[in-house]
Amino acid sequence: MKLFDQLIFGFGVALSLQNLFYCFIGVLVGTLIGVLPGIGPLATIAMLLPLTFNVPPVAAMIMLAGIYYGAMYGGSTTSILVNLPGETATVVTCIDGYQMARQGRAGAALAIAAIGSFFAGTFCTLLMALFAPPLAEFALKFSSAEYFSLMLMGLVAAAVLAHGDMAKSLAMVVVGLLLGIVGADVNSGLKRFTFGFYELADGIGVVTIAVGVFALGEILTNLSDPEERQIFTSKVTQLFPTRDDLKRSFGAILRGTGVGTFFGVLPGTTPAIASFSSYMVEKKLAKDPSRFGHGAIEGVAGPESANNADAQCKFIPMLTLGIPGSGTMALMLGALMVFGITPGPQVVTDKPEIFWGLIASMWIGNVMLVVLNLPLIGIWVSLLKVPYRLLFPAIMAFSAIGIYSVNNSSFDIYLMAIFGVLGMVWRMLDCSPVPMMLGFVLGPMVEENLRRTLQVSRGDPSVLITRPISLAFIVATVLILVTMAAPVARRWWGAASEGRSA
Amino acid sequence: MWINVSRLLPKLSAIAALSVCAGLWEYARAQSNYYQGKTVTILRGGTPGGYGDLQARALIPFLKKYIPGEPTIIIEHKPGAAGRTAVNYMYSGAKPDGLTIGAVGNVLISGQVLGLAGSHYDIDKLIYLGSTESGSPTAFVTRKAAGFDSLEKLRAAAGIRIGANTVSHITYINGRLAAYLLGLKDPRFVVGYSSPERDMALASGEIDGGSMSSATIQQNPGISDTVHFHTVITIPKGKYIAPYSREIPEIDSFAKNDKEHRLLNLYRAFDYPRWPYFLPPGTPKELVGVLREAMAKAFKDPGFAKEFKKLTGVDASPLGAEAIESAIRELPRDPETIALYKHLADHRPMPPR
Repeated sequence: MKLFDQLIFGFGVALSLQNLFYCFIGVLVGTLIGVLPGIGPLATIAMLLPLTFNVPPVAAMIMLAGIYYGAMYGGSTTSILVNLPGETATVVTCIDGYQMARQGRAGAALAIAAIGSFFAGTFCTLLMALFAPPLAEFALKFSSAEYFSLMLMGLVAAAVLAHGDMAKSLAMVVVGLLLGIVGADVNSGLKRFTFGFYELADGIGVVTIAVGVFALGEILTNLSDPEERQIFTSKVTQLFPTRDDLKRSFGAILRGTGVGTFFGVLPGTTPAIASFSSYMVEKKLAKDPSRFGHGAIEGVAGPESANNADAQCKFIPMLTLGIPGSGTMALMLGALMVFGITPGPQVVTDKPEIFWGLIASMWIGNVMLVVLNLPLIGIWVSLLKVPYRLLFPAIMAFSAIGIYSVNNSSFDIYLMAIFGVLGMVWRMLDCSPVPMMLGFVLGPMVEENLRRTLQVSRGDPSVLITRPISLAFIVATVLILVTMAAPVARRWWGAASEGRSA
Repeated sequence: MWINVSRLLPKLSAIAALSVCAGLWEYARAQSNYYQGKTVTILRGGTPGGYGDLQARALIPFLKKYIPGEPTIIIEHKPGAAGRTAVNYMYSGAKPDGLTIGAVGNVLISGQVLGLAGSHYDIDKLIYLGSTESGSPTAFVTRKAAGFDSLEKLRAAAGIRIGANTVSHITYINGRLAAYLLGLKDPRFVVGYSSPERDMALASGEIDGGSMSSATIQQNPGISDTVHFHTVITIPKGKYIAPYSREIPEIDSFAKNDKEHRLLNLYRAFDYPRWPYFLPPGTPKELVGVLREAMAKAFKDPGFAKEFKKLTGVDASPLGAEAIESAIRELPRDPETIALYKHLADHRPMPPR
């Protein structure tokens, strides 16, 4: 009953005209930011933060939170329509979402992305209300050993992302690992593979690679093949998902929400990891995995639910323990401190209007996002009617502006162009760039956490199996390897037996 | 025809005085007109949202107020190589027209003096305007649960795990300096943490100690109850500020010889100024004068101190242009001290004492 009263109180705070207004501004700006490649919620919140100082803290936090999870909604739009990931977390949506658009089902993809995100947002709002403190305590049990084992499991499972030749997919994972180590090593300060370019001292930006490989690579591939350059108007069918689509997506949305929640409460992970993991889960569980990569709606529903769940659950450790799980949360934490509020266990009791008002506003924000995004589907889909001779230059200009805005560096644009060419080459060689992206994102985390684990344990690797959670992930990794190797081993054994009997 | 000079002199003097006044007025009007309607860009060497960003945002409204013409002031971010990308651009790419002001952290000075890769500028040729802070004093702490409640116990323990952000980061250098001068046995440096992660690791026992800035403690008052303070590096030397009390020994008391004292002076010089603002070489003197005066007035404005504390959680400790120039002139640049500092700042095993 107390929980109900607190939720009612929260809605009372969130439903004031002022807070509704700021919530709307936040989700609208967040959606626009998500659509634009390059600039992300972190930079936007940093820029808008001073504007909130003359606004009541609750309204300010509601707006800033709206920008953050709104960006996850917006990022899927360009991923689906033109294979241009607006946010790193929506890279995975490009795989099947764009294929759905090519089949004239962009509307269904966009709708499912919005519906899945709304469901995940609603679930996480309830979760925060009911279980925020115990979830945060669970997150504290994760140290570098657990992170290493978890990320290693993710890398091994990346082979699941493969469609087609397994060897090529694993090779792409290795390419991603190699690209991920470019830059200064945190443990030694030595520059690795920077070739004298100090612009590479901080490594290659993930957005630069994603936009180059996916968006630019797609454009260059299409330019090289005149038959591919068709507009889809004749193929645009219904704008909304069918009953069959909803049925297929239901399980994916549930599972994606679960995956996103798990990663969301863990500090140090990103929505990109949640969405990649969700995609791997869906592909693994599908009755016909060959559909993935060719417009499987589960490949949109799961990841989109996961990235929104992750974004919302990132607030849990920040609000309840004062531990920011990401750079954006660190900024939100800073904002709270500017307002004179110290996040931590006491914020629930000392500042209930902040805690419950924020939780309630997240659900309201998700409603606003669905209301904003669903009617716009028709307008977004009409973008596909734009002839390629106009659309392609616009995408390239958009991408260049977005990439330049990150570091104000033209070097990043050259890098994006190089990755665009590489993306085209990889497509021609039938090498999917998705495992490469996963290797690129996870590789540095695996290395850093392993080295930190060994430093903390004074060189003793047994800590990876003596800690229970880490052991569980290691066992899961071994099982995945065995599952992947078993069919190959069976075929080899069968061939060897036939050879002997012959 | 004779000209009566004595009668003309007062008139000539009046005309001359009026001309000078008119000229000065025109000069002043030109200065105020110069920035009117223009945009001044503060080029930051970091990413948006961090402490460096907030200290700049605290300054902007007051800088705008005191620059004649009240130009629009915006922040542009050019991160990379710990700020050296922005400095390189300011040194050789930015127009010296008084419309672009560089703002990077303390890497500005250390980058060139230590010869860090990618430092293509000369700190003696940059034109300084001021700094919002004059250094960040730090303490070396260990968590209470580790049981090192005295220097003897600390020195007796081998393999203490000291957390830091990355190699060459200020938290890493602080830790190495403290370990070196305190004479710790075989300290292990665990790097790769962000600041909140480091605090978490200290709380959970993953690491045993590390450096802790006054800013961290002011923002998290309860944290000081969970750690033992072993030594503090004051900046400038001898200036104790809250939350550090004089009961914590100054690190200089552990220096055994002149070389080690110079090492500490070098460290202090790198962090004093903490957030220097500067113009590219060749900026006209008149514009430099206008901006320096505006910055000095901004620092004196009571609203600035309040806004700075509100945004960053710590007190402002501004420095003027002359103080920065003096600090750079007096910077220890002898090869022996620099070599020792570089050794401590990198990943090699600790140097012998």
